[in-house]
Amino acid sequence: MNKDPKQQNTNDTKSVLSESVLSRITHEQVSPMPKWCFTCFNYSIWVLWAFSVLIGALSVAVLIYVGDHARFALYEATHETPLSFFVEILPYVWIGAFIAMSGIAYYNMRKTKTGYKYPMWHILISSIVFSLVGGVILNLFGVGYLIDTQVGRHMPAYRSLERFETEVWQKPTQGRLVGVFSTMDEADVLYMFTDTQEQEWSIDTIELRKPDRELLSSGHQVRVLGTTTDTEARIFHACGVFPWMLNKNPSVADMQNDRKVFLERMYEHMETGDRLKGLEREVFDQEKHQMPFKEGLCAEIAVMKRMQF
Amino acid sequence: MHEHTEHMTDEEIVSMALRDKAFFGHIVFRYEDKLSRYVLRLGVRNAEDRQDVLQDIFIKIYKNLNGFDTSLSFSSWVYRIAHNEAISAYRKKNVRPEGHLIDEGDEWVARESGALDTAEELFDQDINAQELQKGMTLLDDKYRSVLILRFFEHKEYEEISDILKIPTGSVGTLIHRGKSQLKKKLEEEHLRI
Repeated sequence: MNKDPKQQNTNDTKSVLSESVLSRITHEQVSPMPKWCFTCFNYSIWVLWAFSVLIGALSVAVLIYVGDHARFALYEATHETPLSFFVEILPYVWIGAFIAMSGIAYYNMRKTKTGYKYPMWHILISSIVFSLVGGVILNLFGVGYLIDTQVGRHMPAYRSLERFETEVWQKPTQGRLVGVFSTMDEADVLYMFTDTQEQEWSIDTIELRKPDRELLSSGHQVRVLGTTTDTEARIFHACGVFPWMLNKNPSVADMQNDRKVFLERMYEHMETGDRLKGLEREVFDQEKHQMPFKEGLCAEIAVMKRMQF
Repeated sequence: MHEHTEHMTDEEIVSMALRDKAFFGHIVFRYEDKLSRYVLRLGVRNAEDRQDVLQDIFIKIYKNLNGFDTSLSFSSWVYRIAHNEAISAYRKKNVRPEGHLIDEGDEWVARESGALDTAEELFDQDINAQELQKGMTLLDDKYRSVLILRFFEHKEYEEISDILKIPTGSVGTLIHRGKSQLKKKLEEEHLRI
């Protein structure tokens, strides 16, 4: 009864608030949300996190596959510089996916019960590391190849490594062909060759070495480097034949060997060209500028100008 | 009922409130004053608005009782909800918070100035409550929140981390930067505390 008025006022206010809260709870029929809602929410955050890490890992697997299988060995045959090759080969979709998924994984991790306790870089790095490790493991099981190839085959807008290589090598006007040997011509001189667009070509192999001819006639898909000498008759002068390696998992040694063979061939063509030019100067009339030899054509192809021996 | 629950922990009352909502009244009793002051400091000055916000806070607490994370202290969890509700309340009104940090007379002011002093030796002994209040309202929200919790609600770094959902390390950084910004604002405004 003799309470301090201030204290009394405080207690009254308390009563008013607690009563109004309880009254609202009753009238609005408010009840605590079931525990399972919170449990589901917490699990869903972790599931989303795991999902984003998984997608990130798949992106990494494709990135590793592309990086591992991109044909750097013959970049002079297809591009002006290593940089232009690198810029074109980068799988931007997967780089974007990896960055986006790392961001989403970070966001989800922060939304977990204890996610806020850790510094930003800690969460971000851990999500990235999970994706990287996952990507390496998935790639070991061929998942990178599977995704890249299957997405490329089913989505026309997606440029898989297989499609990239095919597009780059199926350019006869730029001296590149990809396809399979079918038969010899009637005179048994030219090799008949079907490219990836089902067009028949006659391959002139006069400047090819024996291993190249053997590879060409093996019936396996191959890449042929050279120059188109007759567009209408589809005659292609071959300067080198290289295996199509995207149907298997080439080792570093395979890639190195590919490079070695490529350099050897180009060097030989350069030597042949120089030798024939000297012969031309010695033997033929100076006024005749046209080189009379079929051999030596390979020394003039675009790739030779890019190479610096 | 009040006497029976007087010595009970928050967690015990929560488990009873889940069975009988009448017990939730005790949670309201325990936190009403603290949260009212906190909401006021965060910028909800109008008494009626504050009562509405408090009601919303307690209703939200009740709705989410099953989601109380037992790894936290109940107090931190309650402050977290109160913080979010108060922030969204003044954001809804689209006005800059007019924090009312000091409202309980000179004695209280002296106590707060002492807390600031002992914590970081930031202010003079002769604190000017009005100017400190004005300076605080000029701070960025992230600094205001953390300074209020640290120096006016006397929360530990760990608790502030749990309330604001930021890493404990960031609490220290925000306090340091907040104080620097406060000092700068006070100098810019020619305020003296």
